[in-house]
Amino acid sequence: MSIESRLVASLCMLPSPPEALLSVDRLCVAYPLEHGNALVVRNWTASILRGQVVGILGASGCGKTTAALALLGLLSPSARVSGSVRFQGVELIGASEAVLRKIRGAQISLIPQEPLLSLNPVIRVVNQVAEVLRAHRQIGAAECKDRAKSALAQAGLTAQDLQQAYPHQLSGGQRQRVLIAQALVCGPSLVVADEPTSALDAVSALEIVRVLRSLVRTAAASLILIAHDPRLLKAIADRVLVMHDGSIVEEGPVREVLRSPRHPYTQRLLRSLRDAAERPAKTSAAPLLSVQGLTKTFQRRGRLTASGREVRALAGVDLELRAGQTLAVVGPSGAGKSTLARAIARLDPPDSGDVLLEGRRPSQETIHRRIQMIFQDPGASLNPRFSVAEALAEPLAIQRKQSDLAAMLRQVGLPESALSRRTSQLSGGQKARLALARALTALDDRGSPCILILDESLASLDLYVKAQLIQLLSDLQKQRSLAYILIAHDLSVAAHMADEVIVLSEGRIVERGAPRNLLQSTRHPHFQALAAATLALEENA
Amino acid sequence: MLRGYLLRRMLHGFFLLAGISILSFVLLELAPGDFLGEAKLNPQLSPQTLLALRERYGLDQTLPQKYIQWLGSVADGSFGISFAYNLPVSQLLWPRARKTLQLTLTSLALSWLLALPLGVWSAAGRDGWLDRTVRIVTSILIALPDLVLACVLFFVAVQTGRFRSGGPALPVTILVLAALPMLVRHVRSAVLDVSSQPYVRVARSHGIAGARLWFRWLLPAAANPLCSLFGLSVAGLISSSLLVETVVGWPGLGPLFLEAIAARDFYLVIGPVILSATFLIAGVLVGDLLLYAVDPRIRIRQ
Repeated sequence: MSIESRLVASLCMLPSPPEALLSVDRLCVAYPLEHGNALVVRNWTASILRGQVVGILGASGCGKTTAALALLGLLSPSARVSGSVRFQGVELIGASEAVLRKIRGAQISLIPQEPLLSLNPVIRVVNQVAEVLRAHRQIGAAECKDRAKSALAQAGLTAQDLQQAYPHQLSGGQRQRVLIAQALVCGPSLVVADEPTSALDAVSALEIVRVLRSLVRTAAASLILIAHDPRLLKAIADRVLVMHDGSIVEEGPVREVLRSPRHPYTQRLLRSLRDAAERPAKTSAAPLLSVQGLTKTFQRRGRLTASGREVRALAGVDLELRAGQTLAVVGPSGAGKSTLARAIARLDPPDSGDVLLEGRRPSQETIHRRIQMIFQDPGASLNPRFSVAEALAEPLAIQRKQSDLAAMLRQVGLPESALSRRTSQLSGGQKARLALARALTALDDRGSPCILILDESLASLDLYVKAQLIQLLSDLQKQRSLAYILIAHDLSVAAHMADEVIVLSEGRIVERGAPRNLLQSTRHPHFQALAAATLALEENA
Repeated sequence: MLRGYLLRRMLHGFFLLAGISILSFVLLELAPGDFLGEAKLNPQLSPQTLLALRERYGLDQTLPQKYIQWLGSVADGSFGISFAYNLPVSQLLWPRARKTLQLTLTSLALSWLLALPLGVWSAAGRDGWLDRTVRIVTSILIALPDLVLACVLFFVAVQTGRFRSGGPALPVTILVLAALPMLVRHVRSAVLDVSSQPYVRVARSHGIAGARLWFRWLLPAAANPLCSLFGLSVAGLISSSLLVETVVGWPGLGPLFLEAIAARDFYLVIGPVILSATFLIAGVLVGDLLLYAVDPRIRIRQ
């Protein structure tokens, strides 16, 4: 062996300095407005090493998703992107669509936020995974399908019939696995996961994070994980970037940043989450609302024949609620939670059973004045063409009442100046506040206690915004002695807010009690799985 | 499950046909004059002869009597008697119907085969030159009444001598030009609607692009409203066809229908009405079946 070749060999043995897979330098994203620009991402500088898991933490609207989409050149044409993104020596900003197309999915892939909206509804999921392979590899359709099947199996979707299913036949967690398989099927060196668990319940979220972590490790890929839940990042990330208002305000190893945050924003973010966890319990007197033996059966009509399958949504539900109290109703989807809420608000009358308000059967008008409901997606319940003032005045016009709209807005922490804006211009958190204000205007204000039903109204919001709204709700509860019925699948919110929790399963109450006791000792298997997953996530953190 | 679905739709179609036939009878009865209207003015015919004629043609009967008699003739397949031809309506109808079907089916296939790629391309290159051209041309064609379009093309055909007279090329061209613009616009907007869905951005993020994205990913997802449009396009083509046939002299149902109306040839008017209604119902049924085939959300329920 020659000296030279030995030298080369020994040089190769030397540990090489860690190589940046992706380096981002002063990335800015701006959207042109009528007056000047809205800067959504400001001077973003970061580098990601091979095999590293980097978390990006921040509240909604801080520019996390925009930054991630800018890496892949997936922003709408109106976005102005400047700065530099170098991936394995290739500049991506300003690269042609042809270059980007080859990189997307094959070398950098994206796991999107909403598993429910991210799959094509009319194509079998295995074909949707195979289609990604076909876009990048010159291999036959049959082999693509085989590889797609094994990618799905690796992501934890092993059953044949699930692989051949259409998206609407799968649960949220299963769809998220399909999206993971799509992202990993071409063996990319960088995966960008944009809040992959935000739309899932605690059990599925934990499983998804586990699958993601093990797959990324086996493939030796890097992962950028965008999240608003610090517990999730603590469980999986090496480093964390904290984003606020488009800029990176803090960066470092994940445990260090979460244990001793230096930047005031990070401190505030973490504190708001802790505060939500420590709330005093309340007591009260005679029941404001009592529900007795509520049943509801839905007829699912067969085609041609009138007789169909019966679905029992409620099978005898009893509960009581006192003024100023919060009752949480939890349970898996299809347990009858929303049916219960709608029956109490008399949007859907029950088949049998009574809903009594202060011991009497209330008239329809009384119900509207005393019980209001905020729906699952508060944003979607607002007419986007209405101005904020019009949206607020609507219930007043129906009940022929006068009220000070500006005062209503101030009450929920929205500025008076928002009155003239269109509802579609508000952010998710602001829309939730407006929906809350609107429900409050509809409620009677002659001093009698009222009930507000929140049907997973907070589920779609970021943790930080959610914590603020929880604070607002508890302030309002004290001022107006409101009673809340909180429908949730997220136990942690239920535990933080509620005085009493009832667990619904197949239309029956299977468990009830104070939230702390319930979290520690439960008998029903579903609830146990849910509680265990919530605790596991917290312990990982 | 498909069988039940089909049966139910066919039952619907049957009731629809019954309704249409009753309505046509009532409307025709309300229209002034009858087949013997002109004969009344003829001084050489005595009132006795006229009465005998009325009785022979069954014109003296009440509407329900006529309807029941006609139902009987439907059962034996003759669809009543044409006064003018003195023949069973079915004998006059079938050869004509075949000619009309030949026109409408060809134009139906041609216009959809053209509309799908044109609409998708137009949507894919939104606001590009192709899209603009397509939009301008389709606006003009939609604004033009079918009759004007037919007359202009007929004139051009006669002037240039390019179209073989009596051949199907001219009427098919007119029909395609009449149906195509609306279809292209619907395909374009259906595909554009779908293109703003999150899963399309996700597909792009996986590197799926170009023709595969538009034809494999978007078009199936946009197919739902287009399948319903398929049935409606059959209706549009049939009604245009009756008109176009008359203009270019194609021996289909159109000229026969017009002649029958002018002569107040009662059962010969009812025949084509029922027949085109049947075609229309069949078209809608095919559209429903397409929808069933294309959209798994309809096909599979838990």
